[in-house]
Amino acid sequence: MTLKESLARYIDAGFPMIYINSFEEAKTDRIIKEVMGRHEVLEWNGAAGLVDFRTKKPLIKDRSLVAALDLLRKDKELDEKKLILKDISGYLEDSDKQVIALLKSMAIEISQELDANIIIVSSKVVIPRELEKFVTVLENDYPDQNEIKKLVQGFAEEQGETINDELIEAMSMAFKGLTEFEIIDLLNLALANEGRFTRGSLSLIFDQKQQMIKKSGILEMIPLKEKAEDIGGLENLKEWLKRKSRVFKSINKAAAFGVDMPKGVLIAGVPGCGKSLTAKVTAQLFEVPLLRLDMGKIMGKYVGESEENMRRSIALAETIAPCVLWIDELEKAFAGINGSGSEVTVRLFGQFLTWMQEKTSPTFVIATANDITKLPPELMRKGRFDEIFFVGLPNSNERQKIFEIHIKKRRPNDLNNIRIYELVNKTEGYSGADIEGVVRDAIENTFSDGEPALTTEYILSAINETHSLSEIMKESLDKLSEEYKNRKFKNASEG
Amino acid sequence: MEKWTNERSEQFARLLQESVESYLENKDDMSAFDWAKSYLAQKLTDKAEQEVYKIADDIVNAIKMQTDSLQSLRNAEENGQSAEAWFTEETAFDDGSYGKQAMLLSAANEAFSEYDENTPEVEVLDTDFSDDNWNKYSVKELAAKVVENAAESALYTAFDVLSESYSALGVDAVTNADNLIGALRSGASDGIKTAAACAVNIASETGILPDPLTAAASAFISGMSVEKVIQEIEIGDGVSVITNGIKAVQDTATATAAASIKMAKEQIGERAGLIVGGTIGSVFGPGGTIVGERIGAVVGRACGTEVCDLISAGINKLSNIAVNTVSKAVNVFKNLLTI
Repeated sequence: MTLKESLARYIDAGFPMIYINSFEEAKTDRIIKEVMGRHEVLEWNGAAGLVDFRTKKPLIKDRSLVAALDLLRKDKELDEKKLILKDISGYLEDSDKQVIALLKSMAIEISQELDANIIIVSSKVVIPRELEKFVTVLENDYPDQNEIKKLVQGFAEEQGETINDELIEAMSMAFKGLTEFEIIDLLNLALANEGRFTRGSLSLIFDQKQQMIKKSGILEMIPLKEKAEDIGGLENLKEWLKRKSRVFKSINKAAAFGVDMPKGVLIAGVPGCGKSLTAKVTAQLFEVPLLRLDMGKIMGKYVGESEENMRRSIALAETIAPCVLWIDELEKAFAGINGSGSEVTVRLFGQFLTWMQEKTSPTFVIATANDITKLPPELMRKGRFDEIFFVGLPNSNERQKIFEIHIKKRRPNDLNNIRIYELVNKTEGYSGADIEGVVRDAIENTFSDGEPALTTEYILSAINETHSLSEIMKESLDKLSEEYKNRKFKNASEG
Repeated sequence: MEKWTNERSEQFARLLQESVESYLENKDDMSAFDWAKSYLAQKLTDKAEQEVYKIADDIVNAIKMQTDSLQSLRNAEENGQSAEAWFTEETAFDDGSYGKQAMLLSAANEAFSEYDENTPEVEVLDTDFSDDNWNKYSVKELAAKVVENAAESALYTAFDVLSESYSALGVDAVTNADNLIGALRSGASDGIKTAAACAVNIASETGILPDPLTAAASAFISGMSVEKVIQEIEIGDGVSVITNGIKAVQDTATATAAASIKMAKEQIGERAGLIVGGTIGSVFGPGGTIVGERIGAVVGRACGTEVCDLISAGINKLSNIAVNTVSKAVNVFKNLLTI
C-alpha cells in the first residue's frame, strides 16, 4: 500500500495522530493535499508558525508551537479540520511537558468527539510514551524503478538533454533507495559536472550512497583488500560462497531462471578462525560493496529510536544493494533474547527476523557468532539463512595453508626456507589467529635480534611462548564443537 | 494627571452617598432611567434638557450592555465555551470583517498596555487592518490577549485595600441600607450601578474628579465596582469560594471590555478605535481604578456595619490571594493619591 493510500485510510478511520516519517516535505505535502480534498488544513512549522497549509500564509502573530496548539485546543477549534505539524521532533526529543500535554489533550478530544486528525511530518521518529497509544507511524515511499525512470526522463526533457535507454535503465537501478529530492539533486550535479549524462554519472550516485552510509553512523563501508586465497582452509565454505557468487553476479538472469535471491549465511564457531575474514572475502567474490552493521550503535535513548535505527539501517543497506551486509558477533547484539532480554531487544530481534524471512532485495547477510548457544533458536530456523556453517580449529592441511599465507604476506623470500610441516605438527589446536600471532612475533623477534631472515627456529620459539586458544578455552571449545555436531551444522572445512 | 485631594475625596464620597440614597428612596416609584434623568437635571443645572437626557440614556444603556455582556459570558462558559471564543464572537462585526474587528481589539490591547508595564507593547499594531491581513485565528489570538489583560487588570484593583482610608471621609450607612443590601444580594443591582454612575458623572462634570469621564466610562466603572462589592459580600459570607469570587470579578472586567468594544462598533473607521482606546483607558487605567475603589468603599459603607464587616472579611480573603498584585497596584497608584 502506498503512503497516500495508507494516509487516506487512517484519516477516514479517525486515527488521532499520524506520524509520517519522511525527509521529503514537498512530496509529503503533495500527498497530503491529494488526500485532504476540501477539508480545512492548518499547518504549524518552525519558520512561520501557524499557517494555512495550502497557501502557507501565516495565520497568527505568535509563532510558538504552544500558542498555536493552545489556540486550537479550545472550543473544538480543530473540529472538521486537519492539523499538520512540522519541525516538532525537537520538542518531543526534549520531552517538552507543555507540548506533550497539549498534544495528548487534543488527541483525547479527537478520539472522543472531534472529526479531526493531527499529522506529524518528520525525518525522525520520536514518540513520547504519553502519546504512544495515539500515534500511528507511516513511512514515505521511495520512488520505485518505474517512477525513477519517469523522473529521469522528465528531467532530461526539461533540460533538453537525451539519455539512451540503457543508461536510463542503469540509472534507475542505481537511484533506487534515494528520495526524489536526492535524485533531482544528483541529476543536476551530473549535468553540471559533465554537461551531459554519461555512465560516469553513475559514480556520482555511488558517492552519494557512500555519503548516506557515513552520515548514518550505524553502517560502515569496509574497504575490500582480502581475496579467497587469503583464507587458509574453509574449503567447503569457500566453495559454497563461490557458487552463490555466480548467482549474485547475474541476479536478473538468475531470477529469470527461477533462482531464489540468496539471503545470507550464518557462520558460527571458534574465535579467530576466519569468520570475519570470510565476510570480507565474500564481498570481494560477489563484487559488491561490504557494509558492516554495528549493532551497538542501533540502541537509542528514546522510545522508538532503536527500532527506527534498525529500520533505517536495513533501508540503507537495501539502497546500496546489491551488497553484503556483515553483522559481527550476532549473539552480543541480541544478548539475553531467550530470557531476560529487554523489551527493546526483543522488538529489534523480531524486526530483524522478519526482515531476514521476507527480504527480496539483493542484500546478502553474513552473520558471525562465537557462541551459538546464546542465539535464540528462531534465528536458525529454515528460511532465515541459506546455510549455517560451523568453523572449527584448522586441521593440519589448513594450518599449513595458514602458515604459508602469513609468511608469504610478510616475508615472501623466506617462505621456501621454512619447514612448514614442523610448524604444523607443533600447532595442533591452534586457531588461525594464533598462527598469525606466532608468525608476527617470530618476525618481530628476528628483526629485533638483527637476523637477516626468518627461520623455522624463530617460529618454533614463538610457538613455545604461545598458549593456543584450545589451551585457554579447552572446555568451552569442546562444548561448542559438540553443540555444532549435534545441530548438524555444515563444517566449513573439508573432511 | 491631577491628584486626588482630601477635599475631592470628601466631595466625591458625599455625592455617591447622596445619589445612592436618592435612588433607593425613589426606585419603587420610577424606572432607573427616569430617576437618573431627574437627578441629573437637579444636579447639573447648567445642562440643557436634551444633554441631561443623553447622559442618562448613555448611562442606562451602558449599564445594560455591561450586565447583558456579563450574563452572556457566564452562559457561554457554562456551555463550555472559552472566554476568548466568547469575546471573539461578541466583538465580531455583522459583515464578518476581520479587519475592522482586529482594529478595535488592537486599540483595546494598546490601551491596556499603556498602563501596565507587563503587557507587551503590541507591535504597533499592525496599521494594516484590511481583511486580507486578518482571519478568524488572528482575531481570536488578539481577543485572547484582551481577555488576559482585562482579567489581570481586575486583580490590580487591589480589592479595595485603599478603602481603609475612607473612615476619614465620614461615610456612613444610608437610610435605606436594607434596600441597598437587598439589591446587592438579589442581583438586581443595575439601579445601584446607575446611581453610582450618575454620581461619577456629576463629579466629572463639576470638576471634582481629577480627570473627566464619559457617561459610558462612568457607567462601566460603577458597574465593575458594584459587582466587586457583591463578590466581597458573598465571599465574606461564605456563600462563594475565593476562586469563584476572583473569577467573577475577572469575568466582569472581560464583559466590560467587550461592552466597550461593542459600543464603538457603530462608529466608523479610526474613530471607533479611538473610542475603544479612550473607554478602556478611562475604565481600566489608574484614574478609573481609583474612582472604582472609592465607589466600592462608599457603597460598602453605605450598607452598614454588619455588611461592612462581611466586605472586609471578603477583601481580606481575596487580598491574600492577590497579594503580589495588590502590592504592585498600591505602588503604581499611590503617587496619584494624597490620602
